[in-house]
Amino acid sequence: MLFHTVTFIIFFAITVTMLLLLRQHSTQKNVLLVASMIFYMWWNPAFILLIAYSAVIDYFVALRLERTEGTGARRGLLLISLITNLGLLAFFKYAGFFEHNLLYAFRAFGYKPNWADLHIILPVGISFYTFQTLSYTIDVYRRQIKAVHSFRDLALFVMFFPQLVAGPIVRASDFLPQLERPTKMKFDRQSLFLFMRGLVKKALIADGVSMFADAIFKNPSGWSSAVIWLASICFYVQIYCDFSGYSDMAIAVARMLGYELTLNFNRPYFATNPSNFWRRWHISLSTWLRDYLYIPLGGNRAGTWKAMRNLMLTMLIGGFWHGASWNFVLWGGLHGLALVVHRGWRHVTEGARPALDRSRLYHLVSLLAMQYFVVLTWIPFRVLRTDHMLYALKKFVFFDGNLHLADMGLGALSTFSTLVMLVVFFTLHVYANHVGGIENQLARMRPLPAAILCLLMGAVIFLFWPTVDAPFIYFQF
Amino acid sequence: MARPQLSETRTTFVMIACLIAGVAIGIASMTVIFPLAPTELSRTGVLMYALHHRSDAPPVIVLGNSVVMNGVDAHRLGNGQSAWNFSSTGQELSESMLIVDALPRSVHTVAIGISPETVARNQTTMPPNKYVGYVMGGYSPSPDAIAVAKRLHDQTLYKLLRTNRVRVVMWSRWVVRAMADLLARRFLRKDLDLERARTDLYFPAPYTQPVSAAALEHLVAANYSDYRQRFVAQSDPAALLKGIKDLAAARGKRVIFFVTPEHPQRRMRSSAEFYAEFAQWENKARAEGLDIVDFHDALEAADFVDHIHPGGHGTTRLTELLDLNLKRAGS
Repeated sequence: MLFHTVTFIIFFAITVTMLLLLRQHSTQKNVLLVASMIFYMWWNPAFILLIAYSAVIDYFVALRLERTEGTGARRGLLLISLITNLGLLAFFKYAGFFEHNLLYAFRAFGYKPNWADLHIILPVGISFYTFQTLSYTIDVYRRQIKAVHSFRDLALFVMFFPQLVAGPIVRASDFLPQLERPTKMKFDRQSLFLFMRGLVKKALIADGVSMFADAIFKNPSGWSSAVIWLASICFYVQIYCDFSGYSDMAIAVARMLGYELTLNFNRPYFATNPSNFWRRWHISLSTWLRDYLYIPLGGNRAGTWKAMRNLMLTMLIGGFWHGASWNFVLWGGLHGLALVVHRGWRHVTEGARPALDRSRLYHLVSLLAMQYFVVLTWIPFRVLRTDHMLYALKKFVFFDGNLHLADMGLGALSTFSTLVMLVVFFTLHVYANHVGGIENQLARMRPLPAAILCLLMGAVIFLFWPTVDAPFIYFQF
Repeated sequence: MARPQLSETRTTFVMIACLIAGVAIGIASMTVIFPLAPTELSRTGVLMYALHHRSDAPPVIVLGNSVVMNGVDAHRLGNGQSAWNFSSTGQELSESMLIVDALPRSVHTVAIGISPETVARNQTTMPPNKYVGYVMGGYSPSPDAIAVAKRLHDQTLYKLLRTNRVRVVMWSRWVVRAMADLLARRFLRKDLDLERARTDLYFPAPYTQPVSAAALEHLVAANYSDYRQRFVAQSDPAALLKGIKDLAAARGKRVIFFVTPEHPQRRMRSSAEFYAEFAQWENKARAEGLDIVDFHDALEAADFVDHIHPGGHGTTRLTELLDLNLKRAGS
């Protein structure tokens, strides 16, 4: 069920009506849990059993962890949770990948095994809810939070439908306390306009520019550097609007239901260095990786080389989290390398830092260099076939100077509407950065102008909404 | 005295109501915007208007995709103004069926351009966007056309023809984006005669000038990367061809299918087996009553303006060949 469909609006209206009718806090949580299960089962009913299985294991593991004192026993309990959750993730997401790689390895040594391909369906949202439920048991193990005694509350934390399939990855320490206090639904303009912001990002901009990127990257061979650049910028805009649009809608829907989710994006395309980028992009994942992987690996406490190793490892695993393909590992590796280089650069320029921080030119060059790198690294993320990826990377890095676009068959690829959407995106992006969030500004408007604006927005959204609903990119992760 | 403020929740619901009202205005405006919007597919509306409102429909109608738009000059078919070229950009076989379904009584022969892919691709429907063009142009599928679609294994076309009008109006919003893209095409391809492609009922050729050698090389590489090894006919497209023929025959019209010319670069990227198997299928289809003529190798490289479209001498040659076959068929 997609947020930007009529089905979801009907589902949401029914859920809200039920919550308004059934005022008792406990009953409301039951309603939310049932609604969350229906939301997930809409895609494939059978896979609800996987989430339920994870939740049951983690529920009992956490309760035992709370009562257990011995370090060895506590480690054993944590291991049960890790094996259960990561085992399911490994099987459903990575088994096919390992099988293919094993097959390549066998072939390299001249052995040709005759086994059938594994055709495993990837359960929607498995990467997200696995990390979410893992954070719960790890936090209980670290005694940072107490175990939940209500299974219903834990199940609701894992399955809460606004963030179930594509995040933000919510921490138990942030969400579980919210289940303790009575729900106070927030139907305010800020939530409404946040949802509209997400809708515009997804339905108008991301889906609007995706057609061009898809058409070029389906087979980039033969296209000039100018076309590859345009397609790369389209994907750069598409993936941000698609994913952050989903997050905006998820946060808005949760807020309407009375729950606060963590911020997932903070204008990452204004980042001026890799470290800054990862503090702004997919914040819930990057902080998860920091707290549950980078720091336990030693973080930056054990010297420069180990800190760099830890950074690389964290980013390689973060890349692999996105998908079972070497492309995502490469993408993560490139970002890891950028973080390492940036750390080195900061070390080298430490003395000149105050002057550099004051320099507008340095800031501008940093911004352009960082965004060039981000666009470049989206190519291996988007173009999965190796020969196509290498061709696109070559054309992107070594500009061929061919600006001839006239009769290359671009006319049929929604070129102009794509360019219009790019201009709309960059204008809104810069403006939003300037005013500190368009939805906040809209929420402060007087009712009459705001109502007129809503009327116009309704018409514009309808007219520019593509007739085919595209799924969210991050659903595949 | 200050007026009391509406509560935040009530104000939010007013905003939601305004958004819904805006959507309703958008939907209502489509019936006005659609006919006025110049798009690549607004030719459909022009064709539907001609079929429904002009009393001078000629006895012969030529249908097909942009190869036919560029390759057949209906002025030169038969005796002057005796034919219309109702081909359109990317016209699918199912679209040709809708046009056949809407033809007036005065038309007695329909020539439809096809390619081996028409039968090899298991594609018997059309994008909803295109169907919108027909419905908004006044077309309503007859029970006969619906029956043809119902007989196909793939029920997508049948479902499309049964779509209610409100949904079709909702879909029609694609023209807003398409208008913008047409502007881009006008900017990028100054050599294209798009107004003629939209409105001309006889020779709507948009591609008037040959592309450069470099562009041709790129287009061939980008579009003909697949080597056509074997030809395998699919049952649904073959059934649709027969369905169109029967639909027309029930109304006293004859249908001639002509295989459009292929660029030599395309032919070089196809095996001899491919064409032999295609010829076998043609013979089988002829034995089953379909009237098929094959011009796939009728033109040389110099007869094309790009990797697909005939132009200049190519158009003259294809028109002559079609004319000859129409005369043989008694049209």
